[in-house]
Amino acid sequence: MSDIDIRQLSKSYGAYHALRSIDLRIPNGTLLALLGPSGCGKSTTLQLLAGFDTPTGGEIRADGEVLSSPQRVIPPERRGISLVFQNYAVWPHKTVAENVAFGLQLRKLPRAELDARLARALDTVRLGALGDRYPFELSGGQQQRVALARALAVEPRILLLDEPLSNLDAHLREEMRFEIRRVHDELGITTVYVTHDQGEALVTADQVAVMKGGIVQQLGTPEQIFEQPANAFVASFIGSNNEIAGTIGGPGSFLLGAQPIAGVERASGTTGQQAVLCIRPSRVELCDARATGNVLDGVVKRSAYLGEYRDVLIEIGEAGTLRAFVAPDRRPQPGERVRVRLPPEHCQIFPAPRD
Amino acid sequence: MTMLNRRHVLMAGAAGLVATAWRISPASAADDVLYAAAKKEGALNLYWGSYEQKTIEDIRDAFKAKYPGIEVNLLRQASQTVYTRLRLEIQNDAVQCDSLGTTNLLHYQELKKINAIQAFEPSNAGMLPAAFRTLDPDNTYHVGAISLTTINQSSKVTEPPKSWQALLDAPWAGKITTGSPAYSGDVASWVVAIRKKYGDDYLKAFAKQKPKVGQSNVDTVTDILSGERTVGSGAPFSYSLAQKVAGNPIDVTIPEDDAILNLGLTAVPTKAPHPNAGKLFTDFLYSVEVSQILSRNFWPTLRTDVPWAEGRTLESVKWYRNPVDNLAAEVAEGIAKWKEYIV
Amino acid sequence: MVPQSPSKAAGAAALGYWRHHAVRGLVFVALLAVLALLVVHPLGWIVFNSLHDDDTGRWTLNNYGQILRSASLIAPLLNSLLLATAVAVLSTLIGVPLAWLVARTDLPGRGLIRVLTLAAFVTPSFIGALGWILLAAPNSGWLNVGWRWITGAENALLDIYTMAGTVFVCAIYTVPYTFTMVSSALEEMPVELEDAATTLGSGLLRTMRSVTIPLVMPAVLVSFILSFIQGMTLFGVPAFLLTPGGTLVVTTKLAEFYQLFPPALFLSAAYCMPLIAITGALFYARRRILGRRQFTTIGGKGRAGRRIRLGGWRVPALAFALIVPMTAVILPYIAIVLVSLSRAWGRGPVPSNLTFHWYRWAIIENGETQRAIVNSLLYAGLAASFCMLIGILVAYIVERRLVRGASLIAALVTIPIIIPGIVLSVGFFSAYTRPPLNFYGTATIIIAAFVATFLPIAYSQAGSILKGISPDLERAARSVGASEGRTFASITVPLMRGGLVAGWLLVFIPIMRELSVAIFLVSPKTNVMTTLIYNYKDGGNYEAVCAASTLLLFGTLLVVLLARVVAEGTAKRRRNATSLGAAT
Repeated sequence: MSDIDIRQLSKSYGAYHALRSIDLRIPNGTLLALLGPSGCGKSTTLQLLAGFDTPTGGEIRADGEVLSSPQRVIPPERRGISLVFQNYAVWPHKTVAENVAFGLQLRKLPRAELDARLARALDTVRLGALGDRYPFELSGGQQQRVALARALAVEPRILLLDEPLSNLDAHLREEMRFEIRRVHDELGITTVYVTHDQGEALVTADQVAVMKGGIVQQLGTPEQIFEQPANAFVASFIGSNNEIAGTIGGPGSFLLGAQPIAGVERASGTTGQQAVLCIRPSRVELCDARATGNVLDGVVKRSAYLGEYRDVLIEIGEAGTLRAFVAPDRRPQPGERVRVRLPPEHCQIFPAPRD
Repeated sequence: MTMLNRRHVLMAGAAGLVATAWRISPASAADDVLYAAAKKEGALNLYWGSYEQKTIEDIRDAFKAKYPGIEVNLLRQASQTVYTRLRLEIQNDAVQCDSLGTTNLLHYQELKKINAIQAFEPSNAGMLPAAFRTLDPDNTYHVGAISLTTINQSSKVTEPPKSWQALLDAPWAGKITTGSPAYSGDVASWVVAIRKKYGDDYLKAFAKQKPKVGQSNVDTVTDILSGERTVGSGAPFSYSLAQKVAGNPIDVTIPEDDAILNLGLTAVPTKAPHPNAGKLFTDFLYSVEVSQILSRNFWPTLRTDVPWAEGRTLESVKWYRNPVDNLAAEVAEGIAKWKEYIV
Repeated sequence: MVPQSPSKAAGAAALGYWRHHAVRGLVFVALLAVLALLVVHPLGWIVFNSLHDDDTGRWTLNNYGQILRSASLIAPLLNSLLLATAVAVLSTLIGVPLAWLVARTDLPGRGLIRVLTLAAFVTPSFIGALGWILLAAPNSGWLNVGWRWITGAENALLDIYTMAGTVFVCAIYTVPYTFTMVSSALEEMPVELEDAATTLGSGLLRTMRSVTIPLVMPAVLVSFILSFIQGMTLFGVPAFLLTPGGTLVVTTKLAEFYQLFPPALFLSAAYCMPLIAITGALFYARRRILGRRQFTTIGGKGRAGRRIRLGGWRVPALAFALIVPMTAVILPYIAIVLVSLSRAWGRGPVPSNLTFHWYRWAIIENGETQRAIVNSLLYAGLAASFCMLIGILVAYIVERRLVRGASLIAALVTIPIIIPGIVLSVGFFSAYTRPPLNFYGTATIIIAAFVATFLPIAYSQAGSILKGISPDLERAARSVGASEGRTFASITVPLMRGGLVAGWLLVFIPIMRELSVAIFLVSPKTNVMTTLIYNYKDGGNYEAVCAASTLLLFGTLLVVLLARVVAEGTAKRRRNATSLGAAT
């Protein structure tokens, strides 16, 4: 177990910048999720962490020791870092037990210890009974467990998971999320988990780093990421989100056309600057026509019943549309005129992204 | 056929007897000294293109029997191939060859020019046919084989062409097979001889006969045996007869306007690793044993006191040999003309 | 679980860094040294030679000038291009459907056709040409004699001494390349993609056009190029079939250079360069056409799956599938075996003429053939093994992009295939018969020349096997602590195994039948079967030639079958396994 310190890490492939000087500090025993759309740099970060690639700039340290720098990359097998692959990468020519024991054999452990650790690793992922099977005789979920047991058996100081659940079906995926968290709680290994699925990240991680364009957009707990996104991208990428374009009207104020809306200013901006107001549909309230303060008038375009809530799409003039998740017993009809309230504590104001 | 076989056996027996006798009573004092030196060298590498596989193997075996203690390695490839190989060896200063035997005089003239072959006088050349005794006044190369180029024909041909001229007659159109002067030294020397005798007109007329042109003149035998063609021009005399004795339906005709005689030569390279063994082998070539082996395999013998197979002798055959003075140019010109008229 | 103490881990990591690079460096240096010795050094001599004058030995560009100026030197090049193109087209037209029929349909006798196609692969094409002379020479060819007898016709049905005949004979002995590569690609392909086509007719044709053919296109292109190269570099067939008619191709022209007096060795080196340029262009074109879309895989055969039912087409399909077995193996070997069983082959196959003498002679009496059989098997076995070892290492470095400039190494190991054997032979001679590297007359020089000649095939085989193995499988091993070398040995090689046997055979077989590269390198003690057979042919001993050829065929087939049996033993579980490990 160890902490990870990533400093100004960059990676370019020719003119393409996969990583632009990222900084991440991952305390010992933390499960960090690297979350982002494809091409955001999360997989590159993982490859650099695992030692399969050489950074263009910056460095990676574990427990203060430099693992990677442009000058020197400690080879993967010497890092004490295990990696679980998206496609499992279970060796087809070895049985489950042989797969898991391989890393232990390399360490030339005494027979008894090897057996004990093998059994413990298989038990950890609940595969104890399948040791003699060949991978082709296993289901996808079981293969994933083999991959996990193989990575854990060598007792790495850091565990890397590369989209470990993306090849599983939805049901299994949900189950494995908790499984991974359980194993982490049991062993407490510093873990970096790469995923594009926000659900996975929120469920499993202690810390989430949202990435885009080779830059860490935000690092925080799942709650922070969800409730206090650092920018419009994070707000939109995590969960459902409404984005309304306007300008900054002053401290804590957003102007939609001429109408001021109070909100939380998430980043400093100058008055008159282009800005975006973000609010989650679940925070948008339908209110009666007399309500005042942070209200907008609109017309219901579409209303969909989703069981636990109703997804209502409201046209609010030139500003476009707004989604609101309302209690299922409210039944706004398309064409109906409604008034919505945007609670100021849930309105997040960001200066507009430049691109 | 039976006659021939019986005579064959008798001759072989005689050769065996002689060989035994020789082993009991050493050949000559000079040979003894050479043998001792060769034995010290321990090995002999033969690079031979003259004689077909069987004959040269018989000679090698006889040598091994007569001179035990010398390891004999025989590399039997086409004359040009072994020559090219020796040239490469000389170029790289890695000569392995102790005795070169090829059918092309030009090889030796060239090697002599660069001092790559050594002068020595074989000790028992006394019974060689006088005409071939001293080919090189400096004694750097010596006769290694006598090769006759004649006509051969399928046994089905009752009236074979009697001369080179007769090959140009109408009945033989589309029936002739021959080798290529570009590949076969014997055919090249046939082309030189025929141009000397009849000029380029012969080649032009020959082309009209639509001969099938193989590579080696051994291919004429193949074509005749398979039935593809019936008459071979520039054909190997000895090999055709050997095939006949083996039971194949083929025979030879010695043309009235001369069999073309081409000498195979042999030399010991200057940098031969086992020069004494090489010289000993040259001496051995002129022994009675070898001539008897040659006779058995239908080759002209290298001794006047050993008759050829079927009682022929060098005197009984009408032959012609190209003058050697300007041979290189004549061969080159012959090949060029051949290409112009024939292929 | 007990965590590694940080300081210990840190120390191990630093040490590991240096060890990793030291080992890697050593392997690279060793490999580069081997390639330098096997390829660069002899090739360098060929280039060096090509720039020297044959007569004076001085530096010159005249050899190239002569090639450009002289019509008699350009004509063979054009003939070779024609021959090679026609051979490549014909072997593709025969080989691809044949592969499909055997790999994908319920064609009867598939196993037999496979074995016979392999036998065609084993046969040195000059022996095949010999067989075809016996069969289809215009006057004496048995097929023509039969034709005349049946129809009473005057003219020959077939004339093998033509460009068409030569193309045909070259093609039937080249089809096995196409067949092997394409059928492997077909076997690796998911059956489901073709499932739609269960009946013959337009449905099947459309499937072929839109699914099957695009998927096997890489294999088809590679085998097309290989066939083209075969057509360019084969010597025996055009020498026997085209030279009698006065048509020269590059290889026979080269042979003429060697027959010249004095031999034009340096000119011949220059004369190879157009071949290298043409082939280089072909490989470049292949890359352009395929891009990164290369997924050919040679490997486990007989993937369990539904076969397409041919129904009423079975008979015509079988007739088609028998073209190669009949023309490349059965007919010529009937002729060859009959000759080998003759006392005197000119007498024809009559009872009184039958004898086993030549076999007794070759196996028991003649020390030379005995030695040559042993040498052939030994050298081919060793050379194929070294070849595969180097091929795998190079392919690994190239495929996994371990070093920059890896594609340069790839180009390097690909060049020898296009250099006609006889020129490579001289290159090796020049390189390794002078101190300090004098291997003249030893087995080493022959094995080395064989390795160099067939390195391209080994490399391309290994490359296509590696393409089918996901790099993640290797990375997984690295991440649990296996070094690069250990990963290679414990993960990569075992995963390649089935493909390795196939690849090894694809190298072993052509080495067994290779003739020209050995010609200047063999010594009496290191003679191999092909050089011996060629020398016997040169000496006109046809019965011996045919007996030795038959022995060569059976010897090689025996090794092939042995290798197959060994491979099958471990293949069963792996077969399923391979598909799992395939790149995603």
